[in-house]
Amino acid sequence: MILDISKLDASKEFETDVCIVGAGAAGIAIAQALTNSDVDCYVVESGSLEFDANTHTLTRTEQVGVDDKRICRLRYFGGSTNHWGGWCMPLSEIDFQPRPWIPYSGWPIKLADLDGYYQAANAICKLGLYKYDKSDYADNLDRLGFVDTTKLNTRFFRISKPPVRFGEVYRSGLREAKNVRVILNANVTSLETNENARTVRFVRAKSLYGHTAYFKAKYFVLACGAVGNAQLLLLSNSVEKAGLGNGFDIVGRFFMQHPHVYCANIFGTNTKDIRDLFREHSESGTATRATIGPSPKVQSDLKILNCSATIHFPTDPSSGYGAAKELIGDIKQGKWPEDSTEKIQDVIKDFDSIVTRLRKGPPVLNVQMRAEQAPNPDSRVMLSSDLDRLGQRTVKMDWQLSEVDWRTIRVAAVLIGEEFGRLSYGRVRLPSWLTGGTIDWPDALWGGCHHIGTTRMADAPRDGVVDRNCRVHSVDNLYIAGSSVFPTSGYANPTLSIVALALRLTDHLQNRLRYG
Amino acid sequence: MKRRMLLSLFIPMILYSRCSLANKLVPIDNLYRLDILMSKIREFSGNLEASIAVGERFLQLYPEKKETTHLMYGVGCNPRQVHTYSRLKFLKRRYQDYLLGNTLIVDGWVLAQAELCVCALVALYHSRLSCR
Repeated sequence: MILDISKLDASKEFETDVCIVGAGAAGIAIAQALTNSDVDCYVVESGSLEFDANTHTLTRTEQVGVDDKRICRLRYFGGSTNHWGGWCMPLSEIDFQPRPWIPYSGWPIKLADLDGYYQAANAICKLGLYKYDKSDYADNLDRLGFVDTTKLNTRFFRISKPPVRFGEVYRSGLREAKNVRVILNANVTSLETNENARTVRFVRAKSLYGHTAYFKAKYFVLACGAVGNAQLLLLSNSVEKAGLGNGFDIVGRFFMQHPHVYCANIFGTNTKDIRDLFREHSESGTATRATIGPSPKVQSDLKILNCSATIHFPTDPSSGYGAAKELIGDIKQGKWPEDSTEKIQDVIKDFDSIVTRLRKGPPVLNVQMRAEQAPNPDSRVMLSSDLDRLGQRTVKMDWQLSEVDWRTIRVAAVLIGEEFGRLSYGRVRLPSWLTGGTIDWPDALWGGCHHIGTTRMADAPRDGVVDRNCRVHSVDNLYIAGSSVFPTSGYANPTLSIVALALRLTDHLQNRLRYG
Repeated sequence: MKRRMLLSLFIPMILYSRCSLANKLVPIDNLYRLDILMSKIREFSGNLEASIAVGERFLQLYPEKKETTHLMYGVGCNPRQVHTYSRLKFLKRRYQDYLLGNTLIVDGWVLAQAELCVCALVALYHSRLSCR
């Protein structure tokens, strides 16, 4: 059932087994997994079914660290899956391991603890076969000689095509579910606890138009994204003045993203083979894309983070090939371009470039790195002094990058250069921001909108906000879902892991409800 | 053999006295070997101007590597056996360099030391020729 908060009886408190705050990838995955079970569930969502500019103002963020002004958070049903690209990959084994050269690394769980959950998440994200590793694509790799290198690992992204919009795909299932009620336009403003802050008693939700509602539950799950989760815990300070679950001043710290940068160009005389491996391959409703990055051994030897590069193929729009590509693109979309005559002339005049490009591939390729970011307590999300439309303090984001983040990208770019040189596919040239000898980041740096790590998972309360079951250490009935619990980020886009962890949490909650 | 030895002594000496850059960069006993090596390298090196530019930059950035014997070893050539040097030896050395990470960054380019040594030798040789 899907209801608007304005339709609820304001004098009533709503009681349920599980109250999920936030209907993004994590919240919807849990709610979806609970449909048709014996667990009663409320999903309390800030926005509506569609984007609403007024609600969106609640995501206003003050930035004081690395400048990254892209709009990432979306506060409506489906959350940021309403604009994601559908790129998915599970984390690697090494991402879970403590690495002596990376302070604060290591998860309390292992990759094997997500066995089965990743496969289920793969289905929820509509990614077709569960194929991510080089052994799944051995034929392609053998041909290029990228296998069995000690330097570089090859893995594959799977991309849902079109990207699965959780709010659309899972809407009807949740609407029809008898045990799940989604409440829209309900902005949770605080979590209210008992006098020693060991138990959340209820959450208070408000609409922008004055409606309020209170939700009581046996268990609460925060699923508002890494920024929203930290904000809500910090705002819930009626008993614990530093914020709920923040006894050790960790909430909001260790904020990470995946630095995305173009870190090299590859110049080759025959790049067709590279293009054939690294271009997007369609596969019945999904696509795959190869990546290369330093192997675990190299990461250990060179004391760097995990990262991986995709290769992109720029087209000069003034060339005959560029004109032909644009023309075909327009026609595919059912348009006949106004400048079609000029484009056809360009194609005829520069037909050689088309033949060369098709036979030999593009002369220059771009290497885009997406890197793990080192956990850093100084990189953090805090409360700002500004107030939003609900009178709540907004968020201040201080995204900080460190030397190892930069060095990782440089080392990986050099390794890729060496590998392409070894295979005689071309020569790699690094941009000046990587060769100047000092740490420098390009203007085009962005974090991929992958907000990670503000309520990190650790076995000891002193080291993290949640335990290995995603329960807030100091609160008996409060859980957190989403990438905010990741202690380290890996380089893989986080949605698949978010959903896998959400499904694991669902099992845990069902067991707890069943057996106490 | 005797004629070769004579040439190796006298021709470089004449050049040596006339060319200041060669004075700085090339020890006299290597010039003859360099001549032979360059005749072989010319068969497989690419764009001359680009090679010279990269070579000069490399020697600027890494002046400690300008010694010709070192450069010859760098391209996979034993200076005592320049006559047996071949493209295959260069390719083998280049492959090994990339495999083992014996690379350097020059003007952003990630290049095998063998390639840089070739460029340096080309630059060096060209500067000597231009002095003639």
